[in-house]
Amino acid sequence: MSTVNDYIGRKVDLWFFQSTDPDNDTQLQQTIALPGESGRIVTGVQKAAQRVVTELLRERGSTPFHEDEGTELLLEARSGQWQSPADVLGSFARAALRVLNLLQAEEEDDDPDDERVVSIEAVNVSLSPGTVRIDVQILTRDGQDRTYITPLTVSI
Amino acid sequence: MAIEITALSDLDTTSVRQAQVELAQLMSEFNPSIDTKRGPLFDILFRSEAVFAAKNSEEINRLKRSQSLLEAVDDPDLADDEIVDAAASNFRVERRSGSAAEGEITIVVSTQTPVTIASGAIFEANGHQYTTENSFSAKLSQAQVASENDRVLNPVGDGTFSFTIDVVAITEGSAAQAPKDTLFSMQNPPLSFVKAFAASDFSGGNNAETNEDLLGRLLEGVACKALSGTSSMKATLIDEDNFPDVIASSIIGLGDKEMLRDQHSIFPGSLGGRIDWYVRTQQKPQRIALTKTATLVDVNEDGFGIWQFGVSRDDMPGFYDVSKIILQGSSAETGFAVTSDVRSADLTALSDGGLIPDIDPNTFEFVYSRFQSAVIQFEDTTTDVSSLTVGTSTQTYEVTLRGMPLIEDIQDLVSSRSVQNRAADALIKAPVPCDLSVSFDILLKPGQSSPDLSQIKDDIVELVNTYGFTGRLPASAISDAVHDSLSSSSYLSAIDILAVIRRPDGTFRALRTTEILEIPEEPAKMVTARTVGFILDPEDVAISILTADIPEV
Repeated sequence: MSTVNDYIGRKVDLWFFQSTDPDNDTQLQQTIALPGESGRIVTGVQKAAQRVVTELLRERGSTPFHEDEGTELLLEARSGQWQSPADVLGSFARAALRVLNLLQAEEEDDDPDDERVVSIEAVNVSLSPGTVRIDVQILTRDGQDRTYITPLTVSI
Repeated sequence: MAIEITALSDLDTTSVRQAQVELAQLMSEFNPSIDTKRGPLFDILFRSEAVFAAKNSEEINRLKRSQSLLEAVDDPDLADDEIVDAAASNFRVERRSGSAAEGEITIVVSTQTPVTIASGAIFEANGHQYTTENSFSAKLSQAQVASENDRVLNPVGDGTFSFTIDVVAITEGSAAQAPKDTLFSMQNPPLSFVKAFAASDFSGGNNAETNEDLLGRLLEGVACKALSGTSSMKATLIDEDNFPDVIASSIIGLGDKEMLRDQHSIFPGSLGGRIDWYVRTQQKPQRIALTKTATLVDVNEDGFGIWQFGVSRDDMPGFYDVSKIILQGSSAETGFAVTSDVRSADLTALSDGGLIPDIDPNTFEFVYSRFQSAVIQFEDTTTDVSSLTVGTSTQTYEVTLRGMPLIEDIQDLVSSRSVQNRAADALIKAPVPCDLSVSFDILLKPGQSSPDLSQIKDDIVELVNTYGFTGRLPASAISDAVHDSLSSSSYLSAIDILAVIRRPDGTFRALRTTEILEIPEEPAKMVTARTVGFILDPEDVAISILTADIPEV
């Protein structure tokens, strides 16, 4: 369990994907705060992972005045192009590369290593009716990694 | 352009992104523990706030620029009209609204039976519509006239009959100023209708003042309304209570090479105390028709009579020339040729006792002023003079004079005791006329539709007639006006400009160019850039439409 001391000298962000569990698979909830809670801040690898997920799921052209940002991952998912895991991996690879370049372009030399992403990979893909599961491995410069399960609802 | 931004989509993307960067930088400095790179805070806070920050910044910028007369002058389209009006009011200048041209139409009918033209009747000419604001009734005789809107049917002389009614243009603007003799079509004409034409040049018809026009008058608004310096004098002239519709004016005074009237002394050099004020009172010269009794003064070797009539200083003060002479009652489109036009000064006392400027009648200082009279001789090629007596026989003609209106009225103003400069006299003159004709080709690609030629002609005419006393008219300015009505794939040929200056001494100077028309420097003849005005009628603009022969590739 982290303490305040872990945040000294670190830059924080809002915790946007609730219910993460480092030891188990859990479905995340995209919310600033769960009912009855006041929200949390996040730093380190958690923040890095959150940043990766946010940018992966941002549809390209959906952000006013920043239409060139985002990926086409969700667009391709909804278009019915994903007929096999290979299709999913192809889309994911393109999106991941774009996100990685975007995040690395913003990095500064004094950023902590656990917030500097060096790779984003899909380690497993499974398809079932109405659902695609992509296991994403995010590797930061300090060597730690976390795997997120991001269920997506698509048409197959 | 309004100050307030009502749609966020109108914002400039660069401005929003710049605002985002600035907000992130400010927050980073304010609270270094906040991560201002991508993430929830970035999306929820900085992106959204940047949009509104950019909106506020742009609105403040627009407001500042609108309130700056310097910015508004540089970019008149930027400024909000209401704000410009408010700023201009500080300079005692009000925006002039547009007005509709008005004039008289002569209607010719085939039978001598009463005719009624209802209120709201529509006439059309040159792409403009005109309407009657009252109902007019044509009566058979003067005895039947019962109201001010009753007219008498007069025989034209060819079996038809005519009467004249008043009409006003439906749309505002100077383009609807129909010249004399313009033919009109009529919607739902009476059964006996033959034709309709303008009895004289239409008057009025001003374009609504733009921000650029309004801002151009600010200096004149704050100037003292007195006949002292140039700005003050012009401010007096265009004051709302005087002649606010004057197009342009040029003031010649002490030290100007065009000033000849202050050299009447036996002592050499200029003594001052004299002002020649050239005033362009409207875009196109006005033409008015007068009935004149001419006397047969000679019979030329071809057997045609040479007739003579006089034009008094009150007939059309400051007139330019006689544009048409026809027999009274004739409907001839071309008139008789003028063989002699001798101008003289009429310096007899004015009925109101007004000041008469110092004018040497043995020179041409008075030409185009209110103190000009003339004796006109012309050759009548239709009247049989074999039984007439030279020096005695007379005949009535319809004479059309061309000139700038209001010359007499302005002279009365500057000579009035309350306005007159107490140390100098001022002589008002119409600009020395430089009549232009313009011709060029418009090249279109195959299949391209023709542009609106009427609009192009109107634009060119307005450009030339409002060019002021610049002394130079570049063909590129005309080209620029034409291109406003063309698509990007249309082209112009060289623009051929022909010009004829009618000097005050009655001689003519012809000019021709395809580049820049420049008024010659002839100050001894009172012909310079400061005295000459460009004049162009729509019928003197010739445009040919050609389709370019583009080979297939």
